[in-house]
Amino acid sequence: MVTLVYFVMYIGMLILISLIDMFIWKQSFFQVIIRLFTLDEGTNEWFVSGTAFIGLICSIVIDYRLRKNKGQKQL
Amino acid sequence: MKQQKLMEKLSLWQLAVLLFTFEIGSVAVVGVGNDSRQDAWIAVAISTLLGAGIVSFYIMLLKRAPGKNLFELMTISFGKWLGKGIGLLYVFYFFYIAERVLRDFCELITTVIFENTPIEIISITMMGVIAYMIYLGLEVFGRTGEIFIPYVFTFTILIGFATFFSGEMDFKNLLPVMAEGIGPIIQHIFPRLLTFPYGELITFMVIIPYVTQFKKVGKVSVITVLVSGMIIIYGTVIEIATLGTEQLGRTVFPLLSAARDISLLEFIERVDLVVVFIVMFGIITKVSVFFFAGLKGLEHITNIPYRYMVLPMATIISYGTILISDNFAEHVEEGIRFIPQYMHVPFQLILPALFAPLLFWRTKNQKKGSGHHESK
Amino acid sequence: MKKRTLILMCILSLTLTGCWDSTELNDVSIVTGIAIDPGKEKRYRLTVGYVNASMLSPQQPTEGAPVSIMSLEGNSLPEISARMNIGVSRKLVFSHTRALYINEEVAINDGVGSFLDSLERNPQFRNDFNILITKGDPAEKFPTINDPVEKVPSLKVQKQVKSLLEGWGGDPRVRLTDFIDAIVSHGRSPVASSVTIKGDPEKGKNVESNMMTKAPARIMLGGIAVFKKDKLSGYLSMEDTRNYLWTQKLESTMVTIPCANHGKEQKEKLFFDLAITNNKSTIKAFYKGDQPHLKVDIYSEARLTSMQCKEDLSKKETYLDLEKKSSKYVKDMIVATIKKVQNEFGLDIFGFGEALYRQDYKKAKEVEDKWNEEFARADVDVNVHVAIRRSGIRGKSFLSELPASEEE
Repeated sequence: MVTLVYFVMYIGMLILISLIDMFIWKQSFFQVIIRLFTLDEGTNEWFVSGTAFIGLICSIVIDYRLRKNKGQKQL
Repeated sequence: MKQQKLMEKLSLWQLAVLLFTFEIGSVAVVGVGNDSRQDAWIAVAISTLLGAGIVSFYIMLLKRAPGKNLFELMTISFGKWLGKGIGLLYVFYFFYIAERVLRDFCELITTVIFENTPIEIISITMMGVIAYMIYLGLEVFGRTGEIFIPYVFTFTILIGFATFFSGEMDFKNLLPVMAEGIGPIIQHIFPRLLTFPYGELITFMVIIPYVTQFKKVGKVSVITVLVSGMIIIYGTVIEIATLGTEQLGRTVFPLLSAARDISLLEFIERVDLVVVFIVMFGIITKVSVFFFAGLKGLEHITNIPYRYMVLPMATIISYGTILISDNFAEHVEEGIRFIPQYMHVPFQLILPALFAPLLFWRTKNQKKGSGHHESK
Repeated sequence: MKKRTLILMCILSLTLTGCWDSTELNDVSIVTGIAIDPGKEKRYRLTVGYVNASMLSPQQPTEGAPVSIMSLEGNSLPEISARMNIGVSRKLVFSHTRALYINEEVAINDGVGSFLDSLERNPQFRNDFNILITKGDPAEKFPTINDPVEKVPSLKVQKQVKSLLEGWGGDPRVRLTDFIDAIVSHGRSPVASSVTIKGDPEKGKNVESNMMTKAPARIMLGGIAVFKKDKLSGYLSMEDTRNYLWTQKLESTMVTIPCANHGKEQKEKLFFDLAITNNKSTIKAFYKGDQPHLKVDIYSEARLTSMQCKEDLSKKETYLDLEKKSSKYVKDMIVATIKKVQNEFGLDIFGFGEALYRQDYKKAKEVEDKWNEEFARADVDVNVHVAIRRSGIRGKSFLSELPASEEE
């Protein structure tokens, strides 16, 4: 469930940001999305992408533990 | 699992502290803008009064169903599914503004202090601190505020006095008053000033229900908003008098630029780091409030305690902080041309105004019941 | 649980190794003076004077030059200063810059605007250094002139300017932001101090010159340089500078006023001196019909410091008489300065335009673009009131007791 929330928020934020970028830069949606997704080499963008990935892993782990706890309680 | 059972409670004083730092935080970084030039302080004064009105409107809504926060109110008025859907929109809004606020701060730090440090690192570390604080709960957050508020308050006041006694202030810069009439002031107030420091208080609709003495909340928050408005006026006057309108239009971080001019007795100099301190605490408060509000919304939507989601969501925010804009000019332009009109106004004014009548209608019977209950 | 914390801490400690912005104190050199000259091949020639810190240590000053200089050519200041390490061992830090010397050729031909932007933009530069226009010698000579009292030349200049401003009022008190504000403003033209070298700069370079009682070269302050937008347009004399400052914000000064015209030659006149201790001036600008009027009201408090005249200072009538004389004298002086600026430059360095902007916003907007012409043809009206309060530790001058033989 946390993973689902993670994906919903991730995609939602991405869409929101790209909508605003579309408004500001007057570009099409795909151009903006491509620009957002490309990891420019030479910048340190991979720091945050990496952190976001860690967040994803965390949410999977949390989900796993939640399910385990639930199972235990039911037993 | 024990942490779940912790009661989330804030005292009135903690609420006031959070409101205060929330208000002055962002304003200390980017200022209130230069739209009305030397009359900016008048614009701030008027919008403070309007802001107090907005806050009392929010609190009036909260009083209809005591103990319920913004998202629960929406479920009450719109029904379960529509309420949750609009709640999700609010979550996006809160997270997005949290990202913007954090970006403001990161830009300040990378421009002024850490020129070589990547902005990403600053956003990650700041978000780490905030996530930890939110994970420990609202109480810890409130107490952190209590600890820091004396410093923030005195430093803010002292910056004004120090610039004044350094002889850098020229009150002639405040003249002529209202040279071009009231027009530019009104344009400045709506939508920018009304929404930027004051309308954002809608996040407190998530926090205020956790205050212990709920009855006095209205009075306390209105007074706090007025006091913080006073401080913002004070800061604006410092900025205009010290920098002048021309320079204020060119500078990126006005209060910081004003504080750079401080030179008392050739001894107290280079105190601009004090401004960074104020800003840092203000930003931590502001991001935390937005972050907490968004998490509470997610908790309401998914029924999972928000603590499970702190870390993943924090990483998304630090990711978005970098992604929202490529450069500083874009960031500022979004803040002027897009955010106030298309995000602040709908979420802070239109949606609450929409669900207010629904809420009144839905809680009509309950109110009688609860009022009866209270009178016992 | 404990093991996990330990592992986490180990991982986190790895992140502590790289700190992007750490600089050790012995890796930096502090720049005190910057000089800008026109370049031969490229746009500018930048000279920085940076401190030899160990030389200034009060405990055990080592022998050697207190500052060292380095020059390079380039097209912009940040570019040149980043390349300085071609010849300089340490990283240069500009946050303690005390003086910016600008060669007058740069100011006349190129304008100063193009590099002031980089100074304003850079957070390293504070708003506390003096902008000085160098006359005569190239600007790069100025950070090298040694002085026995202040070891660092640029610190010497800054202190000199400050003392002069406090004692006599010869510096327009212009800092970077004031200067830029004046460039942008429609109602004020920028000014800056000027400096010259008196003596032989080649000799002044040597640290040995500190051993001499009479320094072979000295940095002297001149009057203010007047700018049209960001280009230099001319100089005012030291007297005029003081009079200019009198209309702005004067701390204290000294005026010598003739008692009466006893003789035709300057030498034969008799004088009395006033030390102005307190001063308040207001500037106004307004229109009477189509004719612009400039008005300056000055109220000064003074103390009498010398008396060559015969009048009896123990009488209050004498005070009144002297006050009247000095008010008129000061008034004429200031009017002359304003007229001179009107006729020679036609540039409003006094800020009358800004005053008009505050007092009559609509009219100011109307004449905004041609304000300097309006200023040049404006009528000038100066009101001065000098109040003499006291006369030192003597009342009557002993000169008045002398037999009045000379007058016959």
